[in-house]
Amino acid sequence: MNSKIPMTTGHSSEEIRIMEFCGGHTHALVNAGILQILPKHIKMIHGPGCPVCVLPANHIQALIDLVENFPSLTIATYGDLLRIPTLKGDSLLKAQSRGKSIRMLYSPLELLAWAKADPQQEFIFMAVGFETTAPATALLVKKLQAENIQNVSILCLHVLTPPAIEAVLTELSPAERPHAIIGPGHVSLVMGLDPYLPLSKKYHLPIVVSGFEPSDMMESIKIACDMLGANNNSVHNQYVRALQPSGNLEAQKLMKEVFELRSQFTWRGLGNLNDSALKLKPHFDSWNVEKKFPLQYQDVPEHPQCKCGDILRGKKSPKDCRLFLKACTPNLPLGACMVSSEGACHAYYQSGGLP
Amino acid sequence: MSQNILRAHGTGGKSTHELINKLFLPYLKNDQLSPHDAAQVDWPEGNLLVTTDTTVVDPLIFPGGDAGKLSMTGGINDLLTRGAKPKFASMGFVLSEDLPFGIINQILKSISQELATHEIKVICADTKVITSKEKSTLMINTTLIGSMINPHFQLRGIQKGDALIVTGSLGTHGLAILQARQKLPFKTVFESDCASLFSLLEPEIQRETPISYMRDVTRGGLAGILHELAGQFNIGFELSETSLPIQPAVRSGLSLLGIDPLEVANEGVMLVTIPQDHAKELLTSLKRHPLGKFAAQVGIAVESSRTPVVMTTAIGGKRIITWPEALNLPRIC
Repeated sequence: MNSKIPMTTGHSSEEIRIMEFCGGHTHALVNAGILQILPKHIKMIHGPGCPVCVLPANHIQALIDLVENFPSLTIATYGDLLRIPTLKGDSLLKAQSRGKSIRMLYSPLELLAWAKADPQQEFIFMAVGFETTAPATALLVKKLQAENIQNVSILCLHVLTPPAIEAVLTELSPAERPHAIIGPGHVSLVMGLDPYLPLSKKYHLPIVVSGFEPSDMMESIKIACDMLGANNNSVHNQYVRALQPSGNLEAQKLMKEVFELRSQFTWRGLGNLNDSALKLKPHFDSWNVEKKFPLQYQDVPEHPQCKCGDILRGKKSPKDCRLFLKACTPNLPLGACMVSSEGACHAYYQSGGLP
Repeated sequence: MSQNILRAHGTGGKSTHELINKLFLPYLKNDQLSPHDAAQVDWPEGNLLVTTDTTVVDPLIFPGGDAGKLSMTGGINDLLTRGAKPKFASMGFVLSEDLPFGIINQILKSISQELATHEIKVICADTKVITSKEKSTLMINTTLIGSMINPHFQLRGIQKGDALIVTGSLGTHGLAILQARQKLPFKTVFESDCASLFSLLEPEIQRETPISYMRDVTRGGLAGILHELAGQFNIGFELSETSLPIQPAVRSGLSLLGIDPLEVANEGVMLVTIPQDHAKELLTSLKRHPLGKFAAQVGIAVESSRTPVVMTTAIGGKRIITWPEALNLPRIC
C-alpha cells in the first residue's frame, strides 16, 4: 500500500490522526491487517461507534431484575447483548441458563410472528443500536399499532451518531483530536450525508463516509489525507456504489413518526449527552416498556481497571489496558469493548493484539 | 399407535416394544443385530478402531441433511481420519415427548441409507424418552467400530513444510443451520455440506498417498482445529486468505451476521496435510471427485510460535487467528 497509494498530504511528516467512528470499520481495519501497513505517520483512532459498547449495563441489569420478578416475561434482543456482563458477573445469557425466557432475534419483525403465535405471552424487545437499526424498530412499532398487537413492548435505547462524534471531539485535547473522520456508510444509508455537515463546519474536519470492505477503508483513508492536504473540510461520499447523499427518506420519515429525542441519555464511556438518543413518542405509550413495567435501575459499576471508557473516548488503545488479553477475553469479558465483535478490544484480541 | 412420542414409549412396556418394532427395526434390522442385551461379533482383522459421537442439532431436518445423516457421516469421517472403514454401529436414541413419528421416520431413513451405502451393520441399539419443556427434539449417539482400509497406510503426523489442504468450501454447514434455525430471510437457501467423505478419500488411502494427517473440520471450524493441532504437534500454521475456498454467498451471509467463516462448523470438509511436493498431485486427484471440487491448499505448516495460527490477508497484512472463544452470537449491525 505504501507504494501503490501514496498518502499525499500537506501534513506529510507530521502525525495524521484519523478517527474511524464505527466499530465495523475498526473490525475491518484489524481483520484485513491494514493498521500494520499504514504509513507510520498515519494514526487511526478507534471511535465509539459500537452500539453494544456504549450501552450502560444498568439497562440490561434492569431487564434481568424485571424478568426475575415477572418470570412469565420473554426478553428479546440482538445476540451481541446477551453476553454483556452485569452485576456480579451476571448476563442475559446466564439468566437464560437459569431458565428465564431470553430470546435472540435477527430482525425485530420476528416479534410479530412470535406475538401472534403465543398471544398469552408478554414480549419485551430491547431495541439497541445507532441509526442503522432504529428504522427496523420504528417499523415494528408501526406494525404493532396497525395490527393492534398488545403483547409486545419496546425498551427503546437507540442512540445517534453525530452527538457521539461531537462528544469525542470536545473531550479530546487539540493534541489528541483527530484531523479527519471516517463515517459509517450504513448510518448514512439511512440518514444521508447532511447530519455530518454541521460537525465538519464547526470543527474544520474532512469527513469521509465509507463502505466496509478493506479496499473501501484504504480508499477512505487516502481521500481523508488528500482532503487534509487540500484543506478541504467537507463531507465526502466514498460509498457511492450504495449511498445516495439524501439517505433513505422512507426510513427517515418512519423514524420521525415513531421516535422523539431524549433530552438526556447516559452513554458508557461518554457520559451524559444531550439530545443523543431516541424514545418512543407518547402516542405509542401502550408499547413502551418504560410506561408499562416497573423498571428499577441500579448502578452497575465498571471493573476498576477497565479502560473501556477511555478507549471509547479515543484516549487509550486496548493495549493500554492491564486487563486486556489477561483477565479480559471474549469468553470472560470484563468490559463492553471486549463483548461485541465491533468493540476495539475484541478486534485487537482477534488479531492477537498485533496492531 | 399414536403419531407422536408419549411418555409411555419410554416405560419399557408394550408401547416401547411397539415403537421399536414398528418404527426402528424396519430401518436398522440386519443379520447381526443382537436380540440379546449385548451383541457379539467376530473380529478377525487386527486393529479395531472405534469412534463415538452424539448428534444434537436444531433443527432436526435442514437443507442438505438431517440429524440421522449427520449422526452417520460424522462418525464415518472420524474413522476415515485414521484410515479406517466402519463395519459395525451401536446406536442410542433419546427422544423427547411429543416428537412426531414422521420426523423419526425421515431420520431413520437417512440413517439406513448411509448404513447401506457404507455396508455398516447396527449390532445394538437403545431408545429412551425424556420430557422437554422446549420444542420436541431427538439426540442420537452413534458408536462406529471399524478396521483399517489399507494396513500399509500410515500417518506420520504433521511436520514443518507440510501443505494444508481442505477438501471443500468452508462455512456452509454452520450458515445453513443458522438460517434454518432462525428462518433467516436470505434469498439463497444455504445447503449443509453434510456428507461422508469416504468415497473421496478411500482411493487415496488405498494407493498410499503420503498424507501425513487428517482431521474432520467440524465444531470450532478451521481456526479451532488448527489450534488443537498446533498444540498436539507443537507446530504452527500460516494461512493465506486469498486461497480459502469460501463461496461468495456464504461469505456475504456470514459477514452480514458478523460471523467468521474460519470459526464455523463444517460437516463435509476434511483437513488433509501432506508434504508440499505431493500437494499438487493430491489436489488434482481430489478435484476430480464431486465432493472435492472446491479442494484447495490453504496454507502450510511452519515452526511453532506464541501465535501458532497466522493468516496473510488479501491486501498483504498479517492477522493472527485466535482460538474461537465464545458462542457465535450475531452482532447488531
